[in-house]
Amino acid sequence: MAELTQPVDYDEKHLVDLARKNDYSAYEQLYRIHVGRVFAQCVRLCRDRDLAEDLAQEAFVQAWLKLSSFRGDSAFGSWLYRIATNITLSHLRRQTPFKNSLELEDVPELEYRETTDEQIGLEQAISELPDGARAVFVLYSLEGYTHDEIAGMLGIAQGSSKAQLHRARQLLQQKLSVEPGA
Amino acid sequence: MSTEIHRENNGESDALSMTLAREIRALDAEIQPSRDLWRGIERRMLDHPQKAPGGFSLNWLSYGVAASLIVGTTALMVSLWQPITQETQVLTADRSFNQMEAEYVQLRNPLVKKFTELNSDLDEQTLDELYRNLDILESARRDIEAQVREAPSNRRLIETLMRIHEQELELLKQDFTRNRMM
Repeated sequence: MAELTQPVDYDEKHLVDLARKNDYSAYEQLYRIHVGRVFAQCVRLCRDRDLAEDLAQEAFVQAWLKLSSFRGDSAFGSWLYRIATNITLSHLRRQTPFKNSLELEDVPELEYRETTDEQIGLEQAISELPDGARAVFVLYSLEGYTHDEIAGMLGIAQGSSKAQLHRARQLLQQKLSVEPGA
Repeated sequence: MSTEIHRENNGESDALSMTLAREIRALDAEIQPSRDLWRGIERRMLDHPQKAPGGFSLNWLSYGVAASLIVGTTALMVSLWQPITQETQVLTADRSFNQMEAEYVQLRNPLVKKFTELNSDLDEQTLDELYRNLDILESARRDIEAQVREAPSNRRLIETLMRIHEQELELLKQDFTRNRMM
């Protein structure tokens, strides 16, 4: 998974050390720093804001419970986002429609938007993707996971992950190409 | 990522692909949840406070065990040459070895139970070291007990055994989750 590229002007490692000593305010600072990114990840994967809030909250709780196992080899954020990803995918994998959408043969054919007269943004376009394609697109293109990692997370073959990504990009290009008034 | 895209052989597709790449870069890295999740997280955290980091040094314990063994062995060696005195005979009469053992077991058993409960959450490595040291103490105790059975009226042997009992009981009373070196 790609490391965060955004600059950090705070001593995150120090906050983690304090949190390990039950400094709740230090962990709250870590929460404030990362909640936006964690929630974005959850909501893009599951599409449901209420559910995403529950999943993001659970990610922070699980990170707290596992804090003693965080070795600091990677950035705290990267470690936290992986926990959030695993929690969200674990939830989604229990949903039959999501599981079905991961099957390669269920990758839908392109559906052309004929009646839309306004351009939609990428955020909305992503949310309109079928579950499997959306999950792979978010994990690969936005979160930086490799196809190998995604295949492991979703329990699919690497080829399926690549096919889902290809289809996601086709669908997104199609959705984004609609000009106003078209 | 571009290697994953099955590019079409026309300019329109390339333009769409570039548009998509641009849109992805422009996507917000963060989305804020509509409610503050911190309260719920903090509540869960309070139920599960951090345990102090593992890997604290038990060297003092090893030294203590080693010291007790030296004391015990020295006492044993000396005692083997001690003549049986009147005082020893009185001690033996007042407090038999069997009675002392019964009292010790009565004190030890609940402490073992409590010790296990208190320290069960320590990390595996620390627990291994702790129980290894307890085994050393127990082994020393059994050696002395065997000696006492052979020479039940030997005052020095009984005193040594009593000291080992005290050390073992003292160790079992400790909550090592509170004694870690920060």
